[in-house]
Amino acid sequence: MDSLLKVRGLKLYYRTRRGIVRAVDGVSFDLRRGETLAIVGESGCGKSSMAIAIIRILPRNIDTYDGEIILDGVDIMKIDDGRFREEVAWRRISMVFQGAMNALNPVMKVGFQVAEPLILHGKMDKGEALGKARTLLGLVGLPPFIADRYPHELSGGMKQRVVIAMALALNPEIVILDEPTSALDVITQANIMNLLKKLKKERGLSYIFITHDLALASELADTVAVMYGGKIMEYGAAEQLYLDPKHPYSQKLLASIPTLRTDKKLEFIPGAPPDLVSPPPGCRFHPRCPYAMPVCREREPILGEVEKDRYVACWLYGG
Amino acid sequence: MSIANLLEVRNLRVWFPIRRLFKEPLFVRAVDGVSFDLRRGETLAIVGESGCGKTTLGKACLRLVEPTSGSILYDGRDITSIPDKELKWYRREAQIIYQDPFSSLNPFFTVYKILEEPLIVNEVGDDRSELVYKALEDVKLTPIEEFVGKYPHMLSGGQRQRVAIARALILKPRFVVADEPVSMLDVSVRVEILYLLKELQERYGIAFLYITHDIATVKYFSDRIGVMYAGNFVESGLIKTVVSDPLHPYTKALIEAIPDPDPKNRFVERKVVAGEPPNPIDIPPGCRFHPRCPYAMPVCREREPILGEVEKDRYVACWLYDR
Repeated sequence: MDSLLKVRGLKLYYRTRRGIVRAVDGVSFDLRRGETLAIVGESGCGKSSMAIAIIRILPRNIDTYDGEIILDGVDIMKIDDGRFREEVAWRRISMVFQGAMNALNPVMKVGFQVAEPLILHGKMDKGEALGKARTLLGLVGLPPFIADRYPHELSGGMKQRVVIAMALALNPEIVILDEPTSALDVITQANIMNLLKKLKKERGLSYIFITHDLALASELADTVAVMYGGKIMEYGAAEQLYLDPKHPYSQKLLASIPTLRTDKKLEFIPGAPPDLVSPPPGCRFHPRCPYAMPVCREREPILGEVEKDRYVACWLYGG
Repeated sequence: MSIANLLEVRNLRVWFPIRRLFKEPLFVRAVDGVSFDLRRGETLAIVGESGCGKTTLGKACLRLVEPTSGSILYDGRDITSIPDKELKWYRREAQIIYQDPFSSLNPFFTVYKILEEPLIVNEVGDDRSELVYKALEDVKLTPIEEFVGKYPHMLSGGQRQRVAIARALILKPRFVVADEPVSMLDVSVRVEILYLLKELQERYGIAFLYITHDIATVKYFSDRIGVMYAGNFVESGLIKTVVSDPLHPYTKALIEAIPDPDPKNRFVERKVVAGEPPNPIDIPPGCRFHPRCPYAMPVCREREPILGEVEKDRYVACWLYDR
């Protein structure tokens, strides 16, 4: 399998009154064609910042935006904003934003909202675009008459399907899903996950699935990256990560998730995630790590390959 | 009333009227005929999807919304319709912890003032600062001196929820409604807060009504569970038996929909029931779940099943289990 997307040393720092926030601090990973990479981490670990860094929807207070994002052999960090919008955004990489279903325009029929990117980016005329919009709604499991409904007439799950249809409008290869089911009930969530599985299989989509929920991540993930304090702590195949986590943070995070079908002793991680304005020196997890050694306080471990295709940033594994 | 029960709720209804010009009003039947017991010092989880009426039920038990009919007995006393002025003793006995610690704490009050306020209102304690310090110690916000002067915005989500817990427990209540107390918190912090609630429950003998949509945490932190659908219970019983062997088709569907962290999940499609919960203005006749139920029979469309005991301590409202 070839890498569709290669991210190397991606950095996104924000300027704030308190100082520089290092939201994404040198992140590297590969996304293979037709594969799902789940990026998991707690709030404030930089996972959403990484998504907007990839699709280049940046706020104004950017301090540093650096690194390589290689899509199919081309470094898309090097192309200018205009070309990026024309050629990459939505056409090749699209995104389903967190809570996007609440961002639908309340006074516009849903069909037109799905058609809009086709008119603006796809250069279709209105009639053609509306026809395509109905096809897209069918693809996400909604009957065509939904196109003539307003958002308030739809349930949360239906609105989320509309937003997914919009992300698929221009046939992208990569879809970034940022908490696509937060604020949905569990049964609706299971429905949406089934839809995403089906779309992945039928259209060969690659997903970057961003979530705080490791249990939900396992519904899609082929590969998992665990983020903490703006960095990837562990990166590897889902089987390895779920069944044999190596990094102490991954271990503790998994141990804190209540399970329905098995019994275990639930643990928690004392302390709080680091402040990204002044992260602790050395390993960012050391203040909460039960195995912290002197070296962890001083030098930062780098994400190294400990087994084939298995990367861990921890001094326990040689740093 | 059994002496083991702290709270007995019978046939409780909370209907909200929607007035219409020249027409009969419609009613949102948020809670529609709920009966349950809460035993002293136990945790009863009320589980269901959004809109099923679980929060309204919790608030009705505290008389924060007025019940339409039915009865609520607290410690043998009927509190369903006694006037607010005579309820002051109950306000001390029964407390609530809200979901969102970002909006449930007054941003202009320091932690000290937030905790002192219930003491002032209820005229409790000669030395209020001693009680405030003790409450902060109970929720492990130490060093206490560092926290008393802080404002809510200076605290993390977990710390704020600790303040909310301290505020709820400072009057030494015996009954606490915890409405989604950890759903806004990070996963690594959730378990810590739930362990804290459990520890305080054991120390002070508090009975919790734990309202949540998250059955997975319920399994670890509750004694019994009541599953709600469209305003009423469909199943209740001991947590272990309900989770490992759900009887009602809705409970089965709910549990099936929740993933455990398992890399094999991605290869299988989850079985999901069709449809969505009914509009509480227009609840279907017969069993509320019948339009979505894979086992629906003719009787389910016509007559509403009642919550009946199918085994010891196990109640199900479903015609499949009608004896």
